[in-house]
Parts: sequence; structure tokens; C-alpha cells
Amino acid sequence: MFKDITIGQYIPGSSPLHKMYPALKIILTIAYIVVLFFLHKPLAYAAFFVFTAALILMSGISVKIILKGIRPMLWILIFTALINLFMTQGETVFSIPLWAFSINISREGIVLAATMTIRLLFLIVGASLLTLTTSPLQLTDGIEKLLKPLRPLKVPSYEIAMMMTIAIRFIPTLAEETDKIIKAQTARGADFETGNILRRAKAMVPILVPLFVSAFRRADELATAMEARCYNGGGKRTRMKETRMKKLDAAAIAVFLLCCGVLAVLEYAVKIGLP
Amino acid sequence: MIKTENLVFAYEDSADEVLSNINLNIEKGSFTAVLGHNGSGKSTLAKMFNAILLPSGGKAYVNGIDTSDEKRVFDIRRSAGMVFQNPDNQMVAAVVEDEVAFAPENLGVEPKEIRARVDECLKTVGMTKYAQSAPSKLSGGQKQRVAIASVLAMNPEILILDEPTAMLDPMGRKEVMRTVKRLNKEQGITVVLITHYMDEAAEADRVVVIDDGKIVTDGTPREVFSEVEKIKSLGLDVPQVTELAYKLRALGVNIPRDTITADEAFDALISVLGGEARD
Repeated sequence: MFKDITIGQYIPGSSPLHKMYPALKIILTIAYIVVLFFLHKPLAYAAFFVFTAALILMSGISVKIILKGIRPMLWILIFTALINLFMTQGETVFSIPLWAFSINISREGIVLAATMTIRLLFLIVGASLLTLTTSPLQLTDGIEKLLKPLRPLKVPSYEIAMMMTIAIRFIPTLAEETDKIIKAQTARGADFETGNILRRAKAMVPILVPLFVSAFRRADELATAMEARCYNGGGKRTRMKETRMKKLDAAAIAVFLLCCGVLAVLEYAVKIGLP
Repeated sequence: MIKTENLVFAYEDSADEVLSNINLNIEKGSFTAVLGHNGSGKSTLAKMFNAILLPSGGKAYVNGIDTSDEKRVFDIRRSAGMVFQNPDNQMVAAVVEDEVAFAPENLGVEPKEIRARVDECLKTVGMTKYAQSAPSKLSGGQKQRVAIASVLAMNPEILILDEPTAMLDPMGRKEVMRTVKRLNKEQGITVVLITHYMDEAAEADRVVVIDDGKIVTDGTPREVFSEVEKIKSLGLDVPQVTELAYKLRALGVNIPRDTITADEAFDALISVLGGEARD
């Protein structure tokens, strides 16, 4: 049931996107999303689409996998579009009569619904590109680097990174254990498959209780084993694999800024917008 | 290397002494097995050698350092590395080589030096091939070898193993024992092996038997195991070969009572059988 569990959705590769400094990749992903929300003009969106397509092409990840990432968000997309469509006040294009009152669809509503949908689509694609090209461990490293400047504000960056690594490390172990417990309970006549949702949820209790007990025991033993190897939290710890910014990362920043420049020109300087 | 003087340990909320009046001196480069059944206090004793637990009375010295000296706790833990029973519950990292790098990273060793140590230690335990693997994909024996490597990366003088084979299959047990013996013989690392497997204890230079928190027997495996009745009265077994020799002696077969390895038993039996054939 839990065999070969994958954490995140990382797809190994050797593209420039894979090789980028994780912390920078996270920053650029956030910047990508911020830029997205500054755009209004169709031409700017067209350029944004071209940039995104180029990124996908560069990552070597098939479009199919990226589109797969959109599917779970489909309902949110539809919901957002409908809300924007019906709830935006403005110049009425047409109205749907409904008993005593009618629903007005405004021109602004159509524009807003379309832009929001496009923005969300790009947002999902951008975020998936990050998680598809960055392994959980690299992500952890990136988050640690990003939190490091907050260290003087008592943000425990090393500890957070350590917790995330341990969590990643223990997912397969605990999944295996869950599997074992389910089998053991099934062998003794427990039924997890029939009945309504409430009944099935109740059936989970005999799985969760032993799982939690064992997780606490593991945590206790792990803490002892860590102390035995001189762990005392952050501070003067060194790293075997020190990730550093490389030429590639400088190039990535340059390309990103260039793209931002092009988008700014298209958005603010070129006078071809919606009529 | 390790010395205890009238060592006593009791948990704070309990009047029962888990360890009472332990006097032990473990020589540099030796291979000592600590035997005892469940609840005898053997694991507690192991934790005393690494300052994970501190004596309630008496003293424990590791490498000449008093374990109750709080300032030097990391010196003690560095020089007396400890491997635990459950291989899954002592691994921190999601990649084998990161696991081995964990201890030197904690000690603040230079990245280049860590790299060198990690490669060296993985080679020592024969796990170089798996440097990039996830620990969850390894067998029990392999996991324990990684755990040994991750402790070796601190360059310890002493290796304490708290029932390292208890959760392994026979193959895994052999792998781990072979690795430990090699470390002792080739690198001169002092080994303290806590175990309840008699066959493992038989491979040590010295066997210390603990019962109810006290040392009851201390000597070479030969000396300890030749007293079959005494060992059995403590609720322990003797190695299978010794058991066989004991039973054969009871039947009047002339076989040495201190037979502890299969080879010895084989030779002894051959000479007995050969002797009878000649008659």
C-alpha cells in the first residue's frame, strides 16, 4: 500500500534548473509569482507565456507532468473564475433572468475572471517547476539559507532544517510501520474498507494510536543517538556539502531581470492594450 | 580506557539500584563483551560510558575524563562512540553519506576533512557502494554498518555497541560482527559489546557477566563459559558448542569443558573418535 512512496514530486535531471542554487530558486519562484500579479495587458501575458514555456523546455520535464500538476487545482480554478464572473460589478454585457431577479455578467467580470484564471495557471506551473526540479533535501537547504539572516531574531533556522530533514528521512519508515499495523489489525479482523465515512474514520483509531506511540519511542531513541554523536543544535556546526552560488546562478539572475525588463516595457510602455 | 569506581546508578524516582557497586577496568585495544539477560542493567552500564547517563554514586572515567564533568561531555562522546540497537531509530539523514557526515558536522570539522572521513569510514565498513542510497532501502545489517561508520567518523578510540545485532537476521549479525572484529584487530579500537548472544560474546577477549546490576563473572570467554552451571543459573545460555561439549562430558566423552568455537569442538571430537577407532 505504501511501497515506493515518493516525497514531493521531484524528477531527477541535470538541467540548469536542477543545478541552480536552491535558495535562489525559491526566491526567483516567489519573484516570478509577484511579477505575475503586476501584469494586466494581454501582450505582457503573451510574453510571460513564452518565458514560462522556455523554462519548461529548459527543465527537460514533459509538459504532460506539468499539466498533471494543474488537475488537482481544477476546481479551485473554476470556482475562482465563476466568483469573479458573477460578483464583479460594472458595465453589464448580458444578464441571465432568474425568477424575481437576474444575474448580471459585467464586462469587467469577464476580464477579471480570465486574468485570475490565467494568473493561477501560471502560479501553479511556476510552483510545480520548483518542486519538480528540486529534491526535498535541496529545498530544505534552500529554506535554511533563506532563514539564516533571521537568526539574530531568534528564528532557529538550523533546527528547522534539521527537523525537515528528519521528517523526510522518517516518512518511509513510518509508512512501512503503518502498513505493518494495518496488516496486523486486518489479521485480527479489523475492517477498514466498508461502512460510511464516519465508520471508516473510527476504524483508523486503532492504527493511529500504535503509530503515535511508536513515533514517540523512535523520537526518544533518535534524540539519544543524536546526542551520542555530539549534536547540540546549530551553532558551530559545519556542512560537508556546502552549496554555493555559481556562475549559473548569476546567469539565472541576469536572465530573470532581463525578462522582467521586457515585461515592464510591454506592460507600461507599449500602448496596445485592451480597447 | 574505561574505568569505573564503585559505580552506582538508580533512576531518580526509584529506590532500586539499576547498577550497584560496579568496578570495571577496560584495557585499551581490548574487545570486551558485556553479557546479561533483559533488565540486568547491561544497557544502562553502556550509557554510563558515553555520559548519556551519569552515575548516581561512584565515578566513571573514559579516556581519563570523569563523565560527570559537564564541560567535557563532548570530548567523552567523541572518544567513546556508541551504536544502538535499532538501526532505524538512530539515523538522522535521508542519504547514507550525509548520515556518516552528521557527527563530524556536529563537531565543526572542516568540510574537506569531513568528505575524507566519510569516504574512509564507508570504505572501512564496506558500504562505499551505497553512499548515495536512502537508509530505508538498506538491509538491517547494512544499516548497522552505516551506523558504525557514522560513529567512526568522529575518530573514536572506543566503540560501544548496545545490542547492535538484536534486530538483525543471522546474515546481518555476521556482517556486523565481522566489521566490529576487524575494527578491533586492524585499527586497535577498544570495543565494548553489549549483547545477549553467547556466540558473539565468545568472540571477545573478555566477557563480563552482569546480573541484577552487579558483575557476577569476569574473565576470558573460555573461563566464563566453562562454568556451564553457573551461567545457566543466571538465566543465560552458553554457546551452542560449549553446550554440546558439556552434554557430551556428562555422557562420559572426553572433550575439554572450555570448548567455545566450532573448530575446537570439531578437533576435539575428531581426536575422541579417532582415539576410539584406534582402540
